[in-house]
Amino acid sequence: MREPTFWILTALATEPRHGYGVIQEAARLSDDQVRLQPGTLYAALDRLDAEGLVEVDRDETVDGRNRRYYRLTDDGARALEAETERLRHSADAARSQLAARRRFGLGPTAARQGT
Amino acid sequence: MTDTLSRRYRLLLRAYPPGPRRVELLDTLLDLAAPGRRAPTARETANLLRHGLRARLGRPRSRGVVVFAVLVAVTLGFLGAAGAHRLAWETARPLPTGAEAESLKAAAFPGLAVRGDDGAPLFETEIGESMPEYGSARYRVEPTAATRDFRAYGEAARDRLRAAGWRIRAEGTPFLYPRADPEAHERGQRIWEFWATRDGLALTFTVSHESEVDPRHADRAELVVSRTAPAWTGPAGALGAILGALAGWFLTGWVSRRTEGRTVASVVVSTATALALLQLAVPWLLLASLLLRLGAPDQPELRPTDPFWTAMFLFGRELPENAAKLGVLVLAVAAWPLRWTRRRDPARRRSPRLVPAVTVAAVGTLTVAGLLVYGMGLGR
Repeated sequence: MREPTFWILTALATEPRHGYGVIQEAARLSDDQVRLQPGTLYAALDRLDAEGLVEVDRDETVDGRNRRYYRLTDDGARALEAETERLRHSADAARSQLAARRRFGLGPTAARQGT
Repeated sequence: MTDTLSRRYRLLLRAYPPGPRRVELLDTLLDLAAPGRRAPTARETANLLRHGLRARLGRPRSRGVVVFAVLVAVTLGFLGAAGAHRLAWETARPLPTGAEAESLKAAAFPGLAVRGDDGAPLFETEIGESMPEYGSARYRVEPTAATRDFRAYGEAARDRLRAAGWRIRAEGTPFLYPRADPEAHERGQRIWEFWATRDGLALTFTVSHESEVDPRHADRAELVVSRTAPAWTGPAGALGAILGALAGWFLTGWVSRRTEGRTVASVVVSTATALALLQLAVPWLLLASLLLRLGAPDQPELRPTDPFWTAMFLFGRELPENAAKLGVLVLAVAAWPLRWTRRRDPARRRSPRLVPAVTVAAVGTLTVAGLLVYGMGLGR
C-alpha cells in the first residue's frame, strides 16, 4: 500500500469526508507531513472505489456547490488494519535491531561514550 | 482574482475526461488555494496533467490499459509523423523542365544527344517493389571517345556545373558506392561520380568505363536529378508525431471508457488492438532506424536517403491495411450504443480487470491514422 492510499483510508476511518476534508484530515493526523495533491487523491479514490475499499457516501450541496462524500467500507477497514499490522511489524523489527546495535556498543551512542 | 485562478484550473482540468470529476476537483483545488493565488503551482500542474491523462483511460485498477495507451500513442505518433512529413513534401519544387532542363543537360553533356524524360512524381514505386522512393529524372548519353576518359570527363562536367551555381557535395571513384560490384572492378570497370545540390535539387552525375568489354555496351554516362527535402519536413514531422501521439492516447481512453464493464466488448477490443499493434510493429522498427540515423554524425558525402516511413511498406501494404481494418472494428465496438449496458452500472466495481478495451481504442486510432496516411498518398 502506498503512502497516499494509507493516509486516505486512515482519514476516512472515523467518518465520511469529501475530497478537501480528506486532505485536511490527512495533514492533521500526520502533523502536516502529508499534503495530498488533489490529482493523486482522486486517482486513489477511483482505484479504491473499484477495489471496494471506499465507496460514495452521499452528495451534499453547500453554497450551491456539490460535495461528494466518501466512506470507508468494511473491506477498506480490514485492508487498513492489515497494513497497520504490517507497518507495526516492520517498525518493531527495526526497533529491535537498533536496540541490539546499542547493546553491542556500536553506532552513535557508543561513539559518544568513547570521547 | 479567484476567477483567474478558477479559469486556469478549468483549463488544466481538461486533461480529465468530461464529467462531474472536473467540478469536484475544481472545488477541492479552490478550497485548498491560499487567498490571492492567481495560478496553479508547477507541482499541481504536473500532478493534474499526469492523473488527468491517466483518468482519460478509465479502468482505475488496470495497468494494462496504460501499456496499451503508450503503445498506441507511439504507433499513432509514428503514423502522424509519416503523414505530416509526406504532406510537407508537397511543398517541394518541381523537377526542371523546359529551358531549365535544357541548360542543365547542356552543362552536364555539352554537344551530346541526351535521352531521358523531364520531371517525375514526388515519390514513385518501382514495379515489383513495395517501398516508394523519391521521384527522379534520369538522363543519359551514348558513350563517346570523350567519356571513355571517365575521370577527365567527370571533372570537366563538375567544373561546368559548379560554374552554374551547383554546390559539389562529394566526388570521386567508388565514393558514392564504396563497395560497388567488386567483380566489375576486376573486369576493369572504373567509375567517376559526384553529387551536388542547388535550390532544392540534388543531382548525381556518373560516368563509367569498362576497359575489357565492348565500351558501347558497358560504358555509361548519366545524370539523375531529384528534389531535396523541403525545410518544413522536419518540423512538420515533429508536429505530426505529437498530434498523432495525443490522438492515440485520447482514442485509447475513449474506447477503454466506452467498453468498461462490457466483458465481451473489452475482450474483442483488446485482442483487435493487440493484433493491429503487432501488424504495425514494422513502423516501430523504422522509427528505431530513424533515430539511429538522426544520431549518426553528419556525413555530407551521403546523398539524401529515402524518407523514414517508406519501411512501413517493406512487407507490402497488407499489414497496414489489416491494422486499419482492425482499428475500424475497435472503434465500431466502442461506439456501440450503451443504453442497455448502463443498467449494470451499480455493479461497475465488479467490472473485469481486463485491459483489452484499451487495446481496442489503440487499434482504432491506428486504423484512422493508417487511413489518413494512405489517403495522403504515402504509398503513391
